[in-house]
Amino acid sequence: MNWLRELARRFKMLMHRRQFDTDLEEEMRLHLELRQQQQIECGMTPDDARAAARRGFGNVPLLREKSHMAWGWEWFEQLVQDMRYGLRMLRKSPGFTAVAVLTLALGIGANTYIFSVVDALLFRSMEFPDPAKLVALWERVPSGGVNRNELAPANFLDWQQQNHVFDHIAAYSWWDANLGDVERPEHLHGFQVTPDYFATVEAQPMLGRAFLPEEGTPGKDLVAVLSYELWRDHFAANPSIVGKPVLLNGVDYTVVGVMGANFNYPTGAQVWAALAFPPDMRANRGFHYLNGVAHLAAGVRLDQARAEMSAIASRLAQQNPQTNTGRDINVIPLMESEVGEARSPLAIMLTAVGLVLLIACANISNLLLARAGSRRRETTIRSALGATRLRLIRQSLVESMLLGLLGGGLGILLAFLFLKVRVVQIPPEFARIIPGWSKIAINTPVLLFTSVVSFGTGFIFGLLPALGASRPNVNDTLKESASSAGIGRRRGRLRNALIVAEVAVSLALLATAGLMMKSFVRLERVPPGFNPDRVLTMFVALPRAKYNSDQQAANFYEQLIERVQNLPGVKSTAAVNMLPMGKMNSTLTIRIEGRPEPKPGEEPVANFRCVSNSYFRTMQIPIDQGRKFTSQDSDKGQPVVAVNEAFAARFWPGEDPIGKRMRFSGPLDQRPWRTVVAVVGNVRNQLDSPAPAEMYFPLRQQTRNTMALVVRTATDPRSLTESVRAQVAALDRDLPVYDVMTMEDWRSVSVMPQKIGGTLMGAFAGFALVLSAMGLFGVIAYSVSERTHEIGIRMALGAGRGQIFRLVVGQGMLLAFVGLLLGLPLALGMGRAVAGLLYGVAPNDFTTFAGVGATLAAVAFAACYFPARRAMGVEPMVALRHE
Amino acid sequence: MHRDEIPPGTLYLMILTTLARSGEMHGYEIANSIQRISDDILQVEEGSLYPALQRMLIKGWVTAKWGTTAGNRRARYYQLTAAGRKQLTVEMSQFERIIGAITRVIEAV
Repeated sequence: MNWLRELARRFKMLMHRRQFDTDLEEEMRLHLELRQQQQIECGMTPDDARAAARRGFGNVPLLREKSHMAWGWEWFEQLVQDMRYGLRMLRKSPGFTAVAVLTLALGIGANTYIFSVVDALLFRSMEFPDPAKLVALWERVPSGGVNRNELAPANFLDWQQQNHVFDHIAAYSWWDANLGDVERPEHLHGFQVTPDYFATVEAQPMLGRAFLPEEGTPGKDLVAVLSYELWRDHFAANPSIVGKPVLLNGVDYTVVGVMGANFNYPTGAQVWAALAFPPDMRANRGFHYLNGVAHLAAGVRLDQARAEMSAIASRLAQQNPQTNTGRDINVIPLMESEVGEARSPLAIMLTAVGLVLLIACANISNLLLARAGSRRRETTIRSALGATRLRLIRQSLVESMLLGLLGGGLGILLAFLFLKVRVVQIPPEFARIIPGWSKIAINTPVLLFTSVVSFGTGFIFGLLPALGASRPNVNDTLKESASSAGIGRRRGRLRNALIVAEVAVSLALLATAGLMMKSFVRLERVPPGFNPDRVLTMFVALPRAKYNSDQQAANFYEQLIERVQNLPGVKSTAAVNMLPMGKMNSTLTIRIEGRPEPKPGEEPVANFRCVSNSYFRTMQIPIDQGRKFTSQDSDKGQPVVAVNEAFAARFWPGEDPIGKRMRFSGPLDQRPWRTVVAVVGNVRNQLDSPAPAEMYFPLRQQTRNTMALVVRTATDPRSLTESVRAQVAALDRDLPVYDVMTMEDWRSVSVMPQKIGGTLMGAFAGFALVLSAMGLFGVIAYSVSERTHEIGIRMALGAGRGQIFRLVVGQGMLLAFVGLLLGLPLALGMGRAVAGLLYGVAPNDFTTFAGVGATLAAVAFAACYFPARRAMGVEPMVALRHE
Repeated sequence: MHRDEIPPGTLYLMILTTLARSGEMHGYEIANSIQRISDDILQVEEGSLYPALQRMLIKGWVTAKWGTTAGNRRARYYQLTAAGRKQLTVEMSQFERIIGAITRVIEAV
């Protein structure tokens, strides 16, 4: 405790150190005066007495300093001194300070912004007590290259029973839940989960309880757990909600629990209901619609879990060769399964933005080096007066750190601004299901990151100039003779090296940005196979409780289409169960008539869509061969199917597909043969990959309870939203519509990652380009002003203005070209790093590289041009007198 | 008159002893007291009292407060604390040990 009291005393002294100094001075003065008095009394003259007193006392200022230093604060006081001095120097050159602080603010702001995204998406998206214990389970078909196939219920149940590596294992599935009994019906983002789900993800409800084991059986499964937000927004945060009924899809569910505000898994979930498999589903190994999640038992490692699950998979394949041949189980850490895909793009962004900051550092280093030249006299005098080398370095570093701090402070404000104005815009329908997106914020870890970066940058760009300035040649500088050639040249080399590095890094960033932007443009130009212009889409999900037969559902959609069709401004209306560009698909295993039975595990698979008869016309998908669907294609008519070109090319190359027949295994197994009546154009499901083989079934012969309404309009599609919604309500006032978007929205959402990547990268590269140009301009302009004397001599000796121009521009362009040359391998490396994000562009695309190289060269020329013009204007006589 | 430098490290001891003997004193009084008692042989470079007093303040051996002298001048008076008294015994025994050792060395020659 003694040291604590001692610290308190020291601290008190620090707080009152002015008072301390005057006290000390008074005390010593008193001492000297009393001593003088005494000497006078002994008979000395006053003057002698004073001299004797001083002699006896010792060196007063030194003793005062010693007393002061005894308290151990001199490092702090010097720091304050250095900071005051630094601030004064920064105020004295406002132009330099403004440029440096703004550059840093942009650089640090961009870094803070990107880091806040990285922090939220990669580190805080999945807040589980022990995320390392959680794994995602997928089925895997190595021979088909499928790594993440959903689980079939019978398989899941076997895993649950046979494994010894998980203490909890659960399955869940997407669940459209229409919330009834409210003003305006609303669609909820729901999930049906097996009873062990909450125990698996180690989450306890804030109110009530999780599901009980018996609630996983049909009849007892009408229980729901609400998310915190749903509870707050729709049930007024009523704590007695537990035990009350809530109307979901027209059925009363009993609320058994409410989750806490922090629980958000699967991301965006608003309600969870118990998942009970009906008896036929319990035996189904062909219908893959479940997601799996499991919790590793104590002491079990991931590789042990993998080994056991693989063993189970091969046992199941032996027992069920028809359905399970070639099927393995993929056990992935949950974090990786959820956010693994975002890792590499985010790493690239963070790298890019870090490089931009390094370029900014190089620039400011250069400015400081130039200033160090003009401040050489100052440092030399300080050193001549006894400042140690360390003190000089510290003074200089403190100044840079101040710049870094100012830039960092402003940068945080900028990052706030970037977040506020939503530099990156994602439609809320999508943003809410991106893990971590809602958590992006400037929080403590981000601020910590920014402070470290700010100090770091200050240190990085300040170090070279500080070291340079700390070795003044007192003799030379004070004589101020012909610009102390030796030091000047060394510093010049350093500045040149910095410029070369800047150009090199800029080239790499520009090339990466160029590749990504070109890739985005390519992607934007890919024809999707339909016309996305002015098409309104929205989903309507029909509850099974009310619409329990296919015909009822089909009737509803047909009536809706007819009503919407008659609205003013509507050109054509259709329904489809899955919109293109949605990246979702459902598949069927196909058997073609007259072909040999395929071996188990090798059955061909194709996507299918259920569409209304008007779908091809509404989406403007061309019918190449055959006929359109008509009202004859009903449940009473002959079963028909339309296939796309990719399907035709895969299954009937060189043959006419019309009139061929096929049927399907899995849930549709017992259906009769379907006849191909049309071949339609390919539609891409995502723009960056070619259209898969696809089939279309007429709505009357195969329907779904959740369909999207597709409305082609004559005017702005969004303007019809309310009137279409009114038509839905007119048919059934309890039905909500959801995911109201235009087809153009869907298309742009599908290229969103490329768009965001390209734009951000473009912004970073543009900033880097401007910085390099500024840097080059600074170096050349400075060198011209330093060489005025030399240029004058050259002119006096007969050099023409053109020669001078070439001399200056040549110096700059040499630096630029060395930079380009060194940057090339860097750029190729960056290109390879982003290769996975590119579409239709090689990572070493020649035109991109040539283009950005030429751009950089042109900008470099412009940066040299103006200083060169100034050099040309030098008057020899004036220059020769110039020192 | 020849004056001897005080042995290093004994300045604390002398200040502590002086203060222990006479209670409150200001710097000049301490310096005078040391000189007087040592019959002017031990000469402290008077000013060096002050850094030493600061260090003692930090350690908590003494406290200081402002008061007025007999001549009605403002002066800072130092006073021993309990910790200072304890330190005095420590310093004293240390000093005696050293002096004793030195004496034995000298007598052995």
